[in-house]
Amino acid sequence: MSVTAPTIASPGADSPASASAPVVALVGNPNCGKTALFNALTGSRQKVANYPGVTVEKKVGPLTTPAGRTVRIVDLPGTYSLRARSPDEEVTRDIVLGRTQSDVIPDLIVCVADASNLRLALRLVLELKQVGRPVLLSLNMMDIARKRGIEIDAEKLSRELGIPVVTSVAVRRGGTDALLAEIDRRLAAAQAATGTLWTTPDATALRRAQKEADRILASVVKGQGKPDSLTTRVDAVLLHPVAGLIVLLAILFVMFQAVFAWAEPGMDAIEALFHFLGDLVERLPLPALLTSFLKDGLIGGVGSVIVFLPQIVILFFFILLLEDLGYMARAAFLMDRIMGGAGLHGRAFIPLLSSFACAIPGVMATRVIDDRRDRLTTILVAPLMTCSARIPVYTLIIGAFIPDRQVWGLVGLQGLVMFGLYTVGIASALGVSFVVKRIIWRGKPGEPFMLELPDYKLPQVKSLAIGLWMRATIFLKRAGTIILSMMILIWVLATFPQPPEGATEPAINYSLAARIGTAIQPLTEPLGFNWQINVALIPGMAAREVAVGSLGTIYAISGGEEATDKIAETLGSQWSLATALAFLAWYVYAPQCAPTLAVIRRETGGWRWLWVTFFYMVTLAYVAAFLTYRIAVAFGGG
Amino acid sequence: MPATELERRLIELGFVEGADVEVLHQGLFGGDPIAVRVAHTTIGLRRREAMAILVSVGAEP
Ligand SMILES: Nc1nc2c(ncn2[C@@H]2O[C@H](COP(=O)(O)OP(=O)(O)OP(=O)(O)O)[C@@H](O)[C@H]2O)c(=O)[nH]1
Ligand SMILES: [Mg+2]
Repeated sequence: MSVTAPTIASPGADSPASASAPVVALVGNPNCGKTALFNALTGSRQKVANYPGVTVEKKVGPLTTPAGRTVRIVDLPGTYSLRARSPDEEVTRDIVLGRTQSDVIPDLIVCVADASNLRLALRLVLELKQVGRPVLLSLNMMDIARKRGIEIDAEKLSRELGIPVVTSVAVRRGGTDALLAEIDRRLAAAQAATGTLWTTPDATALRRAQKEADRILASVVKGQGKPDSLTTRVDAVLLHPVAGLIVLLAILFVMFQAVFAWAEPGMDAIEALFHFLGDLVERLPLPALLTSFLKDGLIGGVGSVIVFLPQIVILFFFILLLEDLGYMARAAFLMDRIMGGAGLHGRAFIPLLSSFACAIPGVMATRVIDDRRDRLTTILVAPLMTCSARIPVYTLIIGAFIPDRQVWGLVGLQGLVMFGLYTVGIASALGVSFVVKRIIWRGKPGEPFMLELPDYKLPQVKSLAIGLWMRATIFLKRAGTIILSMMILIWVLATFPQPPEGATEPAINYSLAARIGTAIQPLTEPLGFNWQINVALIPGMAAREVAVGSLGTIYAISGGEEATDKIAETLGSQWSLATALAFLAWYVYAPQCAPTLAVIRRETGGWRWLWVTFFYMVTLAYVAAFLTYRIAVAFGGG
Repeated sequence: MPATELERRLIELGFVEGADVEVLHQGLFGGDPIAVRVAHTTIGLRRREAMAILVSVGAEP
């Protein structure tokens, strides 16, 4: 979907009214729960997940403290030090050191630490103390630490560090009370920032700091002895060199089977609803043109997209579940060798994985990659990952042309084809990156892969539900805005001009849509596309799903004997198999998404990479669709 | 990556002299990458970088 990571902007986040309010910045290692705290404190719904590198930009949200103070809380990307090795860490460094253009300069730094994994956090605290701003330490995830029998002497820790220390549980009601009270106390004390003593540490300084952190750790923590036993046991299987890869494949496989198998009842219900609405409109005493607009344009067009809501929800259910469990970093680990072989940076995995939702957050997530060329390569291939906006297109065509039967007795053929399309997307991304790396940016050694593998966590049912709900809302919002407006456009194009008196051909053949579609025909003829497809491709640039709605509207207006109100059946009777497969091949590669291109421009700081992406994708799409069509025809699919 | 930068990154992930390390898992292809537990943190990294870390076996826990 071409919407950024789900974000509900907190009201008044950056409004002038709060511009003078004191700023409290959340700083800490990746995955220690900063964003979870931010959400708890400000009531926002920023993305939280159990892997390092979720947050890649700063977010500001308002908070009224128990003492009635208005405060601006700033959530920042996680980091191990202030040295800032990648674009996301630069954001954190600049805010902490007050080196920004904006007015977001912290009056108080809350260093957030994962209480069950304190060691690296303590070194960061020592670094933050040098910055010359008031610092307090929040030992987050205390629930987990307690459960594991880790005892931390917070008072002693506070004495050792010379800063206040509180405990917090970001995901529990009341879990931030102590932190809130301490924020109030610190802001009331109103210590002024002193000049910073921080300088970029060299290896010797880092070593010294870590040793000091280790000394403090040993004196305040009891029961650090044993690692999380659940994580150890689960990883014995999931990170096993052979079993791990098999499980990874199996998970993906089950995911796509489920997208088809479980969506059925939901889709039927939605279809029935729109069918009912269509009938209702038809019975109303309205002018024929208005009836057509409502029934073919709105209900037919938008409805044919909304039908795919269950599929989107199921896919995200799996993705969110894996993210919250802590599996994603493991998948990155398992895939590292394959990705490295294709010339991708070790940290490219998670941006590419985010692109399964939508290439936009995927492109943004490449900020965790330090090397510019590696980052560009990842941005270039991110749109090849199968985003959720392709699901309606794929599902429609698969549903219409691939028989719903079982292969080898237990797997559905349709799910298998879906799995295949995802695989083609992944393989193409690897292939393109391989070519870019070997041919364009020759001979640079691969960048290191170093990724913390967090302990597994039981997902919070509530946050899973909220995550799903937000995904569903984003999808429906798209249907109600971009898709709806494109449907109106398509309906107008397909309806006007009206046929002359005594016309013999179907009315739509006289419309502007038919003329446009026919004009492009010479270009797409070799791909086996008809004029209806051509017309659907153009508004499809606004959002991929629009193509589905457009086809729905165009065929609904065409009416005719073969047309039923089920678009899949219509396509099944009007397209050849070869055309359908070529259309799928086109959608695997084509840059049918203007918002993604816009984000590429923004993130790379210029038009150049936008055009590179656009042209290489169009070329691939054309070649792939052409070959698919020819081969399918040769095998009798014409 | 320059050796001094690699050194700093490894230290930032907790690889300092005197820390206990244990290799937990290895990848399928050439045993790469590896998952290493250093103190209480598990880090996935490639062998090439891990080569920069000097380990003595059987030292006092
Ligand atoms: N049990 C428990 N889980 C927590 C707590 N705080 C955060 N989590 C979970 O820890 C994981 C990481 O939380 P995030 O808020 O995304 O971490 P972050 O520090 O923002 O991470 P980055 O943005 O990657 O730097 C998520 O799965 C949270 O649900 C807590 O206090 N208790
Ligand atoms: Mg975060």
